[in-house]
Amino acid sequence: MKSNQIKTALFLSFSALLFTFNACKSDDPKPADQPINEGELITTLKVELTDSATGRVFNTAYFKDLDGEGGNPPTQFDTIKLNGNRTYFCKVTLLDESKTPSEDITEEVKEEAHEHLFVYESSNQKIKVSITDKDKNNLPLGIESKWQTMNNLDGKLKVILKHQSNGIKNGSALLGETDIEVDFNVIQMDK
Amino acid sequence: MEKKSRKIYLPIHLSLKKSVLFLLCLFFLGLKLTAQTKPCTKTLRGKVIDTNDSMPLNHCHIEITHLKKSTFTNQRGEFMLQNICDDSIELHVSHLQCEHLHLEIKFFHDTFITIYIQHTEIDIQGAKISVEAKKEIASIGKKQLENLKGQSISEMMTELSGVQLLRNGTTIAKPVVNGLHSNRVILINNEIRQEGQNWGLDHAPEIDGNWAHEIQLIKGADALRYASDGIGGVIIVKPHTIFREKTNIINGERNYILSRNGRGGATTGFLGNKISNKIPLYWRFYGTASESGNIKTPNYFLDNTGKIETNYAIHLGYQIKRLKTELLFSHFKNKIGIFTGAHIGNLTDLQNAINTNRPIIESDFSYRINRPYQWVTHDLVKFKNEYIVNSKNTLELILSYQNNNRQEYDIIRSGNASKSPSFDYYIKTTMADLLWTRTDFHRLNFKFGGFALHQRNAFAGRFVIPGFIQNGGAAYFITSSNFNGFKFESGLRYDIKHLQTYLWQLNILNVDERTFNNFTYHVQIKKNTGKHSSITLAHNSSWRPPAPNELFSNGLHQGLASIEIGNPNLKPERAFNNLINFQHKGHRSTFETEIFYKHIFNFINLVPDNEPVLTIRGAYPVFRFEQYRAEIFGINYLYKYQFNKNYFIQNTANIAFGNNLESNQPLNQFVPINSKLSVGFQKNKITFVPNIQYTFTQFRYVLNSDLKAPPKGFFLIGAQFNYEFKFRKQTVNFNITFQNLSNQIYREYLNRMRYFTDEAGYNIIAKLNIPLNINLKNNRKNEIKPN
Repeated sequence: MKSNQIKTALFLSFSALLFTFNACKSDDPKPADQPINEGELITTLKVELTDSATGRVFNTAYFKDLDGEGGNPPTQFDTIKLNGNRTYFCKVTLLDESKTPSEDITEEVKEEAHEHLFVYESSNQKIKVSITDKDKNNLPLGIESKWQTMNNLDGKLKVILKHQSNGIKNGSALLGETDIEVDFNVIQMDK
Repeated sequence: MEKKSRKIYLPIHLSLKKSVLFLLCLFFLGLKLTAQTKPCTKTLRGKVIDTNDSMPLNHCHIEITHLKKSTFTNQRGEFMLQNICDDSIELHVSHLQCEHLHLEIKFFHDTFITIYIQHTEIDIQGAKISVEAKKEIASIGKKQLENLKGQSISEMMTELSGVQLLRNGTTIAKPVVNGLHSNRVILINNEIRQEGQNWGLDHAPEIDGNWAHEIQLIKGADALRYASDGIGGVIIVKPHTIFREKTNIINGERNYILSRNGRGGATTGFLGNKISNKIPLYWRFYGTASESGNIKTPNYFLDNTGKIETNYAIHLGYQIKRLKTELLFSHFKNKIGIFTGAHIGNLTDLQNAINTNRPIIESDFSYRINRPYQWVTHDLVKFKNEYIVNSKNTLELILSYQNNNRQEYDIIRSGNASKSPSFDYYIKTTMADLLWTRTDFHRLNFKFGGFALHQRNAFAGRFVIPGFIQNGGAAYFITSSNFNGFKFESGLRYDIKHLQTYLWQLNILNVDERTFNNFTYHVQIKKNTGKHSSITLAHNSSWRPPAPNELFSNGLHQGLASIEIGNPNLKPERAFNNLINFQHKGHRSTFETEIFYKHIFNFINLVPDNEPVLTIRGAYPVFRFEQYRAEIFGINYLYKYQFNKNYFIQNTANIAFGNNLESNQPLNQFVPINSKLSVGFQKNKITFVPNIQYTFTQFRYVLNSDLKAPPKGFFLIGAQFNYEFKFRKQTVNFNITFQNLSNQIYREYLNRMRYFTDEAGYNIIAKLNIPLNINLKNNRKNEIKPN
């Protein structure tokens, strides 16, 4: 009787200790480990503009911030250079260049096209942007677009990517969470 | 015959929690008023009872130490000491099979006292005890906690004078003590300092309040035992001592809780027993499970605000003569949904969300928790040894290990992408605490102790704070003594802390090392200004080295669309705190007020920067950690008037102000003034306490420093209904708590969700508390016979 109770007591103590050691798994990260970030990071936005008349790339502008928000400042922030009274075809590319090899996030956006929308805002209305690609619900997506420029177009052009999850996408630019918002300077080359 | 009060001091070395010097004020009937000339005619009579079996203890030695007067108890446990002149005597009670105890008794007339002894646990009761009078304002007792079950630990703490809440939505809250919170408020759970990612404003304490037996805000020098950095305060959460479990009976309790808002359900309880008198093994098992769904404001549901929590703990105790050993393992786990509308991409989104009165995302009721959510676990192992060397000396060794894991899951772009958390933080802490308690050393009680800590913090995913290793050591000395009606408390503590931080910047590891060391002290005088009142003056100084987030954080705060930048040049904070406390506990009226003034040098706070930071998500406002000289002052008060045994009225208020003394501006995000009025009706076993609470508009803030002006003041109406009844010989307690009865639409200044949503609408919480007593006596007899 007595020895049974002692055994019970010992058993309880040991099971409590076992719990403890199970709690500290060895695969937990260590303080000095380089952090692994599997999260989605967009480091780079590339805007590629093709002249509709020549079919050649006319200008490519980048925004690059290799360590994401905060930390070090952006490493590259280009100005978009265009001619007046022309039509350009625009294609945007999103990259995660913090990884090697770099990851093309544009593919992910395409796969989830029904939850995404690119929005283009010209500060002086001198660039008229119309989205040319559509998602499966026939709503605009915006990876590809057509830009019609006017004269005296110096100003700003804002590229926004909205993440509109849970079926809220209806074509409105106001909904959802902002994944990208880059306000490029635009200057006219043929002044 | 006249009603008189007695004060009996519990000697420190005998209370199980050495943490607190606590004073019990017991009110009981006196017998005869003695003349001021103090003739030696007083008689002390009493009875000694063993709490294990409630039987009187005979042959117990009772001695008035300084008078060399002694006697033994008789068969009925009774004793009598005659011809005593002194008003204040020290009683030494000893028995072969029990531990010695020292009692200091204030004693003006012939008196009868009952002394309960159980091992080293003691309890003293006068002929008549008022339970209300025993309760200190800075503590929440068992009875009150029973009515608070099902609420979070932080919500329970607001019953303490001077404690308010910092919220992040309806389910995440942390305590604010006299205007300060997070790193400046130290929580002690089960005698162990809670170590988690407590720097985060949206990180609630990982403690199950349902198991608490008492919650206390430490005001005296004893706070030094636990921390040097409790600039705001030190709050202790105590479970019931394991050495109270009894043989032959499994003792426990069950609680069932249902709440209307969120359609929540919870069950919590414990079971405990002492195996036998021959084998003094005590055990107790605790468990809690709860779930609730989306919370409703008066007008709409809040999307994704459900919560699931499961906790359990095993507590074992073993006593071999003078050595008491305890082993505790507890596991805390919860999953909390974060309101979807608060997860925003950038400043434009934030402005859009703020400008709409109603969240853009509409929702219905659901228990489902989607991204974004938090998943938090906390494990604690405590191993404690207490050795009673003799009636005056006790040694204690407490070893503990804590593992806190916090995972936060943000909204992700694609459903088939990684299932892993956006960030995943581990903080592991090992602590050792050695304490020597000495009582009655030339009328002085003291505690002398040493403390060591080793802590490792590591993470995966998004950077918020770097990985670090922290080592610390401390030594402390705390004394208390009574001289001529004055009670003195003082303490000195020296800490040394070493912090090694690992910062990865573009694949390069930078190791930062820094060492901090300094003193903390506390001095306090308490004077009884009358039979029912006392005044306490205290002065203390504490310091806090900058935390890793304040030094090194550099990143986006999704919730508030701001970038917080740490400052590696921060110096430690040094606070000087002065307070005056006045208490009056009369026959009908109870009054307690506390005035405090804190002067803090190098106060670390977030200060907005003029230059926004450019990111791929747009420009963000920047907040930098800066230091300045600050002051915090205020008054907390409580007034209670008991008209008769059926009616009472109670009013409490918390008033605090904070200023930046360098810019002469108020501190931002500071607690507004609040006041509560309760009226109580008690009859037989029914108690009904309606209350009304008013929170003022915070008019003290820096203009244009916030995205939205502080919300308007508001009234909240609530009530508590309690009914105690007998069911199968058990006293069952049925409680209904009503919150926000008028379904008031309001927003709280210290809720970070105030930018997006209203606070919760009305709620009704029903609780049933059923004690459990399984008598094993008959079964055991049957078991023993075959042996």
